[in-house]
Amino acid sequence: MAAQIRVLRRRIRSTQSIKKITRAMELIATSRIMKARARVDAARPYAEQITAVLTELANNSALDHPLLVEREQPKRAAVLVVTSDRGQCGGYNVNVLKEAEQLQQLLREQGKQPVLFVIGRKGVSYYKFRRRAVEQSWTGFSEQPTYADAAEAARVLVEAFMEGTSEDGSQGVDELHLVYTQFKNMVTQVPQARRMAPLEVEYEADTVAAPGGEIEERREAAQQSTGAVKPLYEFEPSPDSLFDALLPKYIGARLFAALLEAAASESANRQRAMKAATDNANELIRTLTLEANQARQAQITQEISEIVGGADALVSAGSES
Amino acid sequence: MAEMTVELVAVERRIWSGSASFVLARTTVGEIGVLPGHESTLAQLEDTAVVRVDGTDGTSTTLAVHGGFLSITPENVTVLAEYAELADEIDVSRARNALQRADATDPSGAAAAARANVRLKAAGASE
Repeated sequence: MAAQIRVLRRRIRSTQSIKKITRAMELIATSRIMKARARVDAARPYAEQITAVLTELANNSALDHPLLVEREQPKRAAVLVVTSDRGQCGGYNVNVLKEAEQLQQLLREQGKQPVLFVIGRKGVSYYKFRRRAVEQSWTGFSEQPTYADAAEAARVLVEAFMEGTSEDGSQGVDELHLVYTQFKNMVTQVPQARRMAPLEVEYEADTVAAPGGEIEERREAAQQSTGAVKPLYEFEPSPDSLFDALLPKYIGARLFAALLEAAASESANRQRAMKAATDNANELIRTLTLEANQARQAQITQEISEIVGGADALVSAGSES
Repeated sequence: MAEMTVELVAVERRIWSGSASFVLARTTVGEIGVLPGHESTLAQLEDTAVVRVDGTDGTSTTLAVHGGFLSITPENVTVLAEYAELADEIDVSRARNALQRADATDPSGAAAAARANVRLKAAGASE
Protein backbone atom coordinates (compact mmCIF):
# COMPACT_ATOMS: atom_id res chain seq x y z
CA MET A 1 0.00 0.00 0.00
CA ALA A 2 2.71 2.47 0.98
CA ALA A 3 4.61 1.46 -2.13
CA GLN A 4 1.61 2.36 -4.27
CA ILE A 5 1.39 5.84 -2.81
CA ARG A 6 5.09 6.38 -3.41
CA VAL A 7 4.72 5.34 -7.06
CA LEU A 8 1.74 7.65 -7.53
CA ARG A 9 3.54 10.60 -5.95
CA ARG A 10 6.55 10.00 -8.19
CA ARG A 11 4.35 10.00 -11.30
CA ILE A 12 2.68 13.24 -10.20
CA ARG A 13 6.06 14.90 -9.74
CA SER A 14 7.36 13.79 -13.14
CA THR A 15 4.13 14.86 -14.86
CA GLN A 16 4.47 18.25 -13.22
CA SER A 17 7.95 18.74 -14.64
CA ILE A 18 6.82 17.63 -18.08
CA LYS A 19 4.02 20.17 -17.83
CA LYS A 20 6.50 22.92 -17.02
CA ILE A 21 8.47 22.09 -20.16
CA THR A 22 5.48 21.89 -22.50
CA ARG A 23 4.08 25.11 -21.05
CA ALA A 24 7.38 26.91 -21.67
CA MET A 25 7.50 25.56 -25.23
CA GLU A 26 3.95 26.73 -25.79
CA LEU A 27 4.80 30.26 -24.67
CA ILE A 28 7.94 30.37 -26.80
CA ALA A 29 6.00 29.14 -29.84
CA THR A 30 3.36 31.81 -29.28
CA SER A 31 5.91 34.59 -29.31
CA ARG A 32 7.63 33.04 -32.35
CA ILE A 33 4.37 33.13 -34.32
CA MET A 34 4.07 36.84 -33.65
CA LYS A 35 7.65 37.42 -34.76
CA ALA A 36 7.28 35.27 -37.86
CA ARG A 37 4.10 37.07 -38.88
CA ALA A 38 5.75 40.43 -38.36
CA ARG A 39 8.56 39.26 -40.65
CA VAL A 40 6.08 38.13 -43.29
CA ASP A 41 4.62 41.64 -43.18
CA ALA A 42 8.07 43.24 -43.28
CA ALA A 43 8.98 41.25 -46.38
CA ARG A 44 5.83 42.28 -48.23
CA PRO A 45 6.97 45.69 -49.61
CA TYR A 46 9.87 44.05 -51.45
CA ALA A 47 7.66 41.35 -52.92
CA GLU A 48 5.17 43.96 -54.12
CA GLN A 49 7.84 46.17 -55.63
CA ILE A 50 9.70 43.38 -57.40
CA THR A 51 6.41 42.14 -58.86
CA ALA A 52 5.63 45.65 -60.08
CA VAL A 53 9.06 45.97 -61.68
CA LEU A 54 8.78 42.55 -63.31
CA THR A 55 5.36 43.42 -64.72
CA GLU A 56 6.84 46.56 -66.21
CA LEU A 57 9.70 44.59 -67.69
CA ALA A 58 7.41 41.90 -69.06
CA ASN A 59 5.74 44.54 -71.17
CA ASN A 60 9.05 45.43 -72.74
CA SER A 61 11.02 42.24 -72.91
CA ALA A 62 10.94 39.24 -75.22
CA LEU A 63 9.76 36.81 -72.50
CA ASP A 64 11.88 34.04 -73.93
CA HIS A 65 13.98 33.73 -70.81
CA PRO A 66 14.62 30.06 -69.94
CA LEU A 67 12.96 30.57 -66.56
CA LEU A 68 9.69 31.46 -68.27
CA VAL A 69 9.50 28.92 -71.06
CA GLU A 70 8.15 25.40 -70.64
CA ARG A 71 10.66 22.72 -71.60
CA GLU A 72 9.43 20.50 -74.38
CA GLN A 73 10.04 17.16 -72.73
CA PRO A 74 10.69 17.64 -69.05
CA LYS A 75 12.50 14.61 -67.63
CA ARG A 76 13.50 15.54 -64.12
CA ALA A 77 11.62 17.77 -61.72
CA ALA A 78 13.11 19.17 -58.52
CA VAL A 79 10.88 19.04 -55.45
CA LEU A 80 11.89 21.28 -52.55
CA VAL A 81 10.23 20.15 -49.32
CA VAL A 82 10.15 22.60 -46.41
CA THR A 83 9.98 20.79 -43.05
CA SER A 84 10.96 21.72 -39.51
CA ASP A 85 14.22 21.08 -37.67
CA ARG A 86 12.63 20.02 -34.40
CA GLY A 87 9.69 17.81 -33.58
CA GLN A 88 6.96 18.48 -31.01
CA CYS A 89 4.85 20.27 -33.56
CA GLY A 90 1.90 17.96 -34.09
CA GLY A 91 1.10 16.91 -37.62
CA TYR A 92 3.13 19.67 -39.26
CA ASN A 93 5.85 17.52 -40.82
CA VAL A 94 3.57 14.58 -41.56
CA ASN A 95 1.20 16.80 -43.52
CA VAL A 96 3.93 18.45 -45.54
CA LEU A 97 5.62 15.13 -46.32
CA LYS A 98 2.30 13.60 -47.34
CA GLU A 99 1.72 16.49 -49.74
CA ALA A 100 5.24 15.98 -51.11
CA GLU A 101 4.54 12.28 -51.67
CA GLN A 102 1.40 13.13 -53.61
CA LEU A 103 3.27 15.61 -55.77
CA GLN A 104 5.99 13.08 -56.51
CA GLN A 105 3.37 10.52 -57.44
CA LEU A 106 1.79 13.02 -59.82
CA LEU A 107 5.15 13.87 -61.38
CA ARG A 108 5.92 10.20 -61.91
CA GLU A 109 2.56 9.71 -63.61
CA GLN A 110 3.49 12.55 -65.95
CA GLY A 111 6.71 10.73 -66.77
CA LYS A 112 9.01 13.02 -64.84
CA GLN A 113 11.52 11.82 -62.33
CA PRO A 114 11.29 13.73 -59.04
CA VAL A 115 14.55 14.94 -57.53
CA LEU A 116 14.39 15.73 -53.83
CA PHE A 117 15.73 18.83 -52.14
CA VAL A 118 14.96 19.12 -48.44
CA ILE A 119 14.94 21.92 -45.89
CA GLY A 120 14.74 20.92 -42.23
CA ARG A 121 16.16 18.03 -40.21
CA LYS A 122 12.84 16.19 -39.90
CA GLY A 123 12.48 15.89 -43.66
CA VAL A 124 16.07 14.74 -44.00
CA SER A 125 15.64 11.95 -41.48
CA TYR A 126 12.29 10.94 -43.02
CA TYR A 127 13.91 10.29 -46.39
CA LYS A 128 17.08 8.87 -44.88
CA PHE A 129 15.06 6.29 -42.93
CA ARG A 130 13.30 5.26 -46.13
CA ARG A 131 16.62 5.19 -48.01
CA ARG A 132 15.44 7.66 -50.59
CA ALA A 133 18.06 9.74 -52.35
CA VAL A 134 18.09 13.42 -51.41
CA GLU A 135 19.96 15.61 -53.85
CA GLN A 136 20.76 18.32 -51.35
CA SER A 137 19.51 19.48 -47.97
CA TRP A 138 19.75 22.53 -45.75
CA THR A 139 19.08 22.47 -42.02
CA GLY A 140 19.25 24.64 -38.93
CA PHE A 141 17.09 27.63 -39.82
CA SER A 142 13.52 26.35 -40.13
CA GLU A 143 12.19 28.45 -37.24
CA GLN A 144 13.97 31.68 -38.07
CA PRO A 145 14.96 31.71 -41.72
CA THR A 146 17.05 34.57 -43.07
CA TYR A 147 17.20 35.75 -46.65
CA ALA A 148 20.74 34.38 -46.94
CA ASP A 149 19.36 30.85 -46.36
CA ALA A 150 16.65 31.30 -48.97
CA ALA A 151 19.08 32.84 -51.44
CA GLU A 152 21.51 29.93 -51.06
CA ALA A 153 18.80 27.33 -51.72
CA ALA A 154 17.39 29.40 -54.59
CA ARG A 155 20.85 29.71 -56.14
CA VAL A 156 21.39 25.94 -56.16
CA LEU A 157 17.91 25.28 -57.56
CA VAL A 158 18.11 27.92 -60.28
CA GLU A 159 21.55 26.66 -61.29
CA ALA A 160 20.23 23.10 -61.62
CA PHE A 161 17.27 24.42 -63.57
CA MET A 162 19.29 26.57 -65.98
CA GLU A 163 21.52 23.59 -66.65
CA GLY A 164 18.54 21.48 -67.74
CA THR A 165 18.48 17.70 -67.62
CA SER A 166 21.73 16.34 -68.96
CA GLU A 167 21.88 13.75 -71.75
CA ASP A 168 22.26 10.78 -69.43
CA GLY A 169 19.56 12.15 -67.14
CA SER A 170 21.71 12.26 -64.04
CA GLN A 171 22.05 15.98 -63.49
CA GLY A 172 20.05 19.16 -63.74
CA VAL A 173 16.29 19.54 -63.71
CA ASP A 174 13.56 20.88 -66.02
CA GLU A 175 11.07 22.00 -63.41
CA LEU A 176 11.16 23.38 -59.88
CA HIS A 177 8.43 22.57 -57.39
CA LEU A 178 8.02 23.75 -53.84
CA VAL A 179 6.09 22.07 -51.03
CA TYR A 180 5.57 24.16 -47.92
CA THR A 181 2.91 24.96 -45.36
CA GLN A 182 0.84 28.00 -46.02
CA PHE A 183 -0.13 30.08 -43.01
CA LYS A 184 -3.77 31.02 -43.40
CA ASN A 185 -4.48 32.04 -39.82
CA MET A 186 -3.71 30.90 -36.30
CA VAL A 187 -5.84 27.77 -36.61
CA THR A 188 -5.50 26.86 -40.29
CA GLN A 189 -2.22 25.99 -41.97
CA VAL A 190 -2.43 24.14 -45.24
CA PRO A 191 0.37 22.21 -46.94
CA GLN A 192 0.79 23.49 -50.47
CA ALA A 193 2.59 22.33 -53.59
CA ARG A 194 3.60 25.03 -56.03
CA ARG A 195 5.58 25.24 -59.20
CA MET A 196 8.39 27.79 -59.00
CA ALA A 197 9.83 27.32 -62.48
CA PRO A 198 9.07 27.65 -65.31
CA LEU A 199 7.81 30.80 -63.68
CA GLU A 200 4.31 32.01 -63.60
CA VAL A 201 4.87 35.66 -62.92
CA GLU A 202 2.09 37.01 -60.76
CA TYR A 203 1.08 40.03 -62.76
CA GLU A 204 -0.87 42.76 -61.14
CA ALA A 205 -4.62 43.17 -61.66
CA ASP A 206 -6.08 41.62 -64.79
CA THR A 207 -2.88 40.44 -66.45
CA VAL A 208 -2.93 37.18 -64.50
CA ALA A 209 -0.17 34.59 -64.60
CA ALA A 210 -0.17 32.37 -67.62
CA PRO A 211 2.63 30.12 -68.80
CA GLY A 212 4.13 30.06 -72.27
CA GLY A 213 2.29 31.43 -75.26
CA GLU A 214 -0.64 32.74 -73.29
CA ILE A 215 1.57 35.34 -71.65
CA GLU A 216 2.26 36.87 -75.04
CA GLU A 217 -1.42 37.26 -75.85
CA ARG A 218 -2.31 38.66 -72.50
CA ARG A 219 0.65 40.97 -72.62
CA GLU A 220 -0.48 42.36 -75.94
CA ALA A 221 -3.99 42.75 -74.62
CA ALA A 222 -2.62 44.53 -71.57
CA GLN A 223 -0.53 46.80 -73.73
CA GLN A 224 -3.49 47.76 -75.80
CA SER A 225 -5.63 48.53 -72.82
CA THR A 226 -3.06 50.35 -70.72
CA GLY A 227 -0.28 51.21 -73.16
CA ALA A 228 -1.57 54.69 -73.84
CA VAL A 229 -1.45 55.83 -70.22
CA LYS A 230 1.56 53.93 -68.92
CA PRO A 231 4.82 55.84 -68.83
CA LEU A 232 7.48 54.56 -71.20
CA TYR A 233 10.45 53.24 -69.32
CA GLU A 234 14.13 53.65 -70.00
CA PHE A 235 16.21 50.58 -69.22
CA GLU A 236 19.77 50.41 -67.99
CA PRO A 237 21.09 47.98 -69.13
CA SER A 238 18.77 46.47 -71.76
CA PRO A 239 15.39 45.00 -70.67
CA ASP A 240 16.55 41.47 -71.44
CA SER A 241 19.65 41.58 -69.30
CA LEU A 242 17.65 43.25 -66.53
CA PHE A 243 15.23 40.36 -66.78
CA ASP A 244 18.09 37.89 -66.48
CA ALA A 245 19.26 39.58 -63.30
CA LEU A 246 15.82 40.05 -61.77
CA LEU A 247 14.22 36.63 -62.26
CA PRO A 248 16.56 34.64 -59.98
CA LYS A 249 16.08 37.33 -57.32
CA TYR A 250 12.33 37.02 -57.78
CA ILE A 251 12.56 33.28 -57.18
CA GLY A 252 14.72 33.93 -54.14
CA ALA A 253 12.17 36.39 -52.77
CA ARG A 254 9.29 33.96 -53.35
CA LEU A 255 11.22 31.16 -51.66
CA PHE A 256 12.02 33.45 -48.74
CA ALA A 257 8.35 34.36 -48.38
CA ALA A 258 7.47 30.65 -48.41
CA LEU A 259 10.09 29.92 -45.74
CA LEU A 260 8.69 32.68 -43.53
CA GLU A 261 5.19 31.32 -43.87
CA ALA A 262 6.41 27.82 -43.14
CA ALA A 263 8.16 29.12 -40.02
CA ALA A 264 4.96 30.80 -38.84
CA SER A 265 3.00 27.59 -39.53
CA GLU A 266 5.54 25.50 -37.68
CA SER A 267 5.30 27.71 -34.60
CA ALA A 268 1.50 27.72 -34.76
CA ASN A 269 1.46 23.92 -34.96
CA ARG A 270 3.92 23.64 -32.11
CA GLN A 271 1.92 26.05 -30.00
CA ARG A 272 -1.22 23.97 -30.55
CA ALA A 273 0.52 20.66 -29.85
CA MET A 274 2.12 22.01 -26.69
CA LYS A 275 -1.14 23.49 -25.45
CA ALA A 276 -2.78 20.09 -25.86
CA ALA A 277 0.15 18.46 -24.04
CA THR A 278 -0.11 20.93 -21.14
CA ASP A 279 -3.86 20.34 -20.88
CA ASN A 280 -3.33 16.58 -20.85
CA ALA A 281 -0.68 16.90 -18.16
CA ASN A 282 -3.11 18.91 -16.02
CA GLU A 283 -5.77 16.24 -16.45
CA LEU A 284 -3.31 13.48 -15.62
CA ILE A 285 -2.11 15.28 -12.50
CA ARG A 286 -5.72 15.66 -11.35
CA THR A 287 -6.55 11.96 -11.74
CA LEU A 288 -3.29 10.85 -10.16
CA THR A 289 -3.76 13.17 -7.17
CA LEU A 290 -7.24 11.73 -6.66
CA GLU A 291 -5.87 8.21 -6.80
CA ALA A 292 -3.04 9.01 -4.41
CA ASN A 293 -5.45 10.57 -1.92
CA GLN A 294 -7.70 7.52 -2.08
CA ALA A 295 -4.74 5.23 -1.52
CA ARG A 296 -3.60 7.36 1.44
CA GLN A 297 -7.09 7.26 2.95
CA ALA A 298 -7.31 3.49 2.44
CA GLN A 299 -3.95 3.09 4.16
CA ILE A 300 -5.09 5.14 7.19
CA THR A 301 -8.35 3.18 7.43
CA GLN A 302 -6.45 -0.06 7.30
CA GLU A 303 -4.01 1.06 10.01
CA ILE A 304 -6.88 2.08 12.30
CA SER A 305 -8.66 -1.23 11.85
CA GLU A 306 -5.38 -3.05 12.50
CA ILE A 307 -4.84 -1.09 15.74
CA VAL A 308 -8.43 -1.65 16.85
CA GLY A 309 -8.17 -5.33 16.00
CA GLY A 310 -4.90 -5.62 17.92
CA ALA A 311 -6.35 -3.82 20.97
CA ASP A 312 -9.42 -6.11 20.90
CA ALA A 313 -7.18 -9.16 20.73
CA LEU A 314 -5.17 -7.90 23.76
CA VAL A 315 -8.36 -7.16 25.71
CA SER A 316 -9.88 -10.60 24.99
CA ALA A 317 -6.54 -12.30 25.79
CA GLY A 318 -6.41 -10.41 29.18
CA SER A 319 -9.99 -11.41 30.19
CA GLU A 320 -9.32 -15.09 29.55
CA SER A 321 -6.37 -15.32 31.92
CA MET B 1 10.69 72.73 -53.85
CA ALA B 2 9.92 69.77 -56.02
CA GLU B 3 10.00 66.48 -54.27
CA MET B 4 9.54 62.77 -54.89
CA THR B 5 8.70 59.79 -52.75
CA VAL B 6 11.63 57.52 -52.14
CA GLU B 7 11.36 53.98 -50.88
CA LEU B 8 14.26 51.73 -50.02
CA VAL B 9 13.14 48.17 -49.51
CA ALA B 10 15.32 45.21 -48.67
CA VAL B 11 14.05 41.64 -48.82
CA GLU B 12 13.63 41.38 -45.06
CA ARG B 13 12.26 44.83 -44.30
CA ARG B 14 11.60 48.34 -45.50
CA ILE B 15 14.75 50.31 -44.73
CA TRP B 16 13.80 53.88 -45.47
CA SER B 17 10.92 55.79 -46.95
CA GLY B 18 10.06 59.43 -47.20
CA SER B 19 10.17 62.39 -49.52
CA ALA B 20 13.46 63.46 -51.05
CA SER B 21 14.86 66.00 -53.46
CA PHE B 22 17.80 64.03 -54.81
CA VAL B 23 18.97 60.41 -55.11
CA LEU B 24 22.45 59.36 -56.13
CA ALA B 25 23.30 55.77 -57.08
CA ARG B 26 25.68 53.81 -59.25
CA THR B 27 24.20 51.44 -61.85
CA THR B 28 26.00 48.83 -63.89
CA VAL B 29 26.38 51.35 -66.71
CA GLY B 30 27.35 54.39 -64.70
CA GLU B 31 26.48 56.82 -61.97
CA ILE B 32 22.99 58.25 -61.94
CA GLY B 33 21.59 61.28 -60.13
CA VAL B 34 17.83 61.51 -59.87
CA LEU B 35 15.90 64.72 -59.41
CA PRO B 36 12.12 64.93 -59.14
CA GLY B 37 10.44 64.61 -62.53
CA HIS B 38 13.04 62.19 -63.84
CA GLU B 39 12.17 60.08 -66.85
CA SER B 40 10.77 56.64 -65.94
CA THR B 41 13.69 54.27 -65.70
CA LEU B 42 14.49 50.76 -64.54
CA ALA B 43 18.11 50.13 -63.75
CA GLN B 44 20.28 47.50 -62.19
CA LEU B 45 22.62 48.80 -59.51
CA GLU B 46 26.16 47.54 -59.15
CA ASP B 47 26.43 44.42 -57.00
CA THR B 48 27.69 46.57 -54.20
CA ALA B 49 26.70 50.19 -54.39
CA VAL B 50 26.46 53.29 -52.25
CA VAL B 51 23.14 55.11 -52.48
CA ARG B 52 22.66 58.63 -51.19
CA VAL B 53 19.24 60.11 -50.57
CA ASP B 54 18.85 63.82 -49.81
CA GLY B 55 15.61 64.28 -47.94
CA THR B 56 13.46 67.39 -48.32
CA ASP B 57 14.08 68.22 -44.67
CA GLY B 58 17.75 68.82 -45.42
CA THR B 59 19.02 65.51 -44.08
CA SER B 60 21.16 63.24 -46.18
CA THR B 61 21.00 59.45 -45.82
CA THR B 62 23.69 57.18 -47.11
CA LEU B 63 23.25 53.43 -47.52
CA ALA B 64 25.26 50.44 -48.57
CA VAL B 65 23.14 48.43 -51.02
CA HIS B 66 23.92 44.91 -52.20
CA GLY B 67 22.30 43.35 -55.26
CA GLY B 68 19.93 46.24 -55.91
CA PHE B 69 17.61 47.56 -58.58
CA LEU B 70 16.38 51.07 -59.14
CA SER B 71 12.92 51.90 -60.37
CA ILE B 72 12.21 55.53 -61.20
CA THR B 73 9.02 57.31 -62.19
CA PRO B 74 8.57 61.10 -62.21
CA GLU B 75 7.09 61.03 -58.69
CA ASN B 76 8.62 57.92 -57.14
CA VAL B 77 11.99 56.32 -56.71
CA THR B 78 12.20 52.76 -55.43
CA VAL B 79 15.40 50.96 -54.57
CA LEU B 80 15.03 47.17 -54.34
CA ALA B 81 17.88 45.51 -52.55
CA GLU B 82 18.81 42.03 -51.42
CA TYR B 83 20.56 43.59 -48.46
CA ALA B 84 20.85 47.21 -47.46
CA GLU B 85 22.29 48.97 -44.46
CA LEU B 86 21.96 52.53 -43.28
CA ALA B 87 25.29 54.27 -42.84
CA ASP B 88 24.87 54.66 -39.07
CA GLU B 89 23.91 50.98 -38.69
CA ILE B 90 27.19 49.83 -40.17
CA ASP B 91 29.72 48.38 -37.79
CA VAL B 92 32.89 50.03 -39.09
CA SER B 93 35.39 47.91 -37.20
CA ARG B 94 33.68 44.72 -38.34
CA ALA B 95 33.72 45.87 -41.94
CA ARG B 96 37.44 46.71 -41.59
CA ASN B 97 38.13 43.24 -40.21
CA ALA B 98 36.15 41.64 -43.01
CA LEU B 99 38.12 43.64 -45.54
CA GLN B 100 41.42 42.50 -44.06
CA ARG B 101 40.32 38.90 -43.82
CA ALA B 102 38.94 38.75 -47.35
CA ASP B 103 41.27 36.97 -49.71
CA ALA B 104 41.13 38.96 -52.92
CA THR B 105 42.51 36.14 -55.04
CA ASP B 106 39.41 33.92 -55.19
CA PRO B 107 36.07 35.24 -56.47
CA SER B 108 34.08 34.84 -53.25
CA GLY B 109 36.81 36.63 -51.31
CA ALA B 110 36.84 39.44 -53.82
CA ALA B 111 33.08 39.77 -53.49
CA ALA B 112 33.42 39.88 -49.70
CA ALA B 113 36.08 42.56 -50.02
CA ALA B 114 33.84 44.58 -52.32
CA ARG B 115 30.99 44.28 -49.83
CA ALA B 116 33.19 45.40 -46.94
CA ASN B 117 34.52 48.28 -49.04
CA VAL B 118 31.12 49.61 -49.94
CA ARG B 119 30.02 49.44 -46.32
CA LEU B 120 33.06 51.44 -45.27
CA LYS B 121 32.42 53.93 -48.05
CA ALA B 122 28.78 54.33 -47.04
CA ALA B 123 29.80 54.82 -43.42
CA GLY B 124 32.27 57.48 -44.57
CA ALA B 125 35.17 55.61 -43.03
CA SER B 126 37.11 54.52 -46.11
CA GLU B 127 40.63 55.76 -46.40
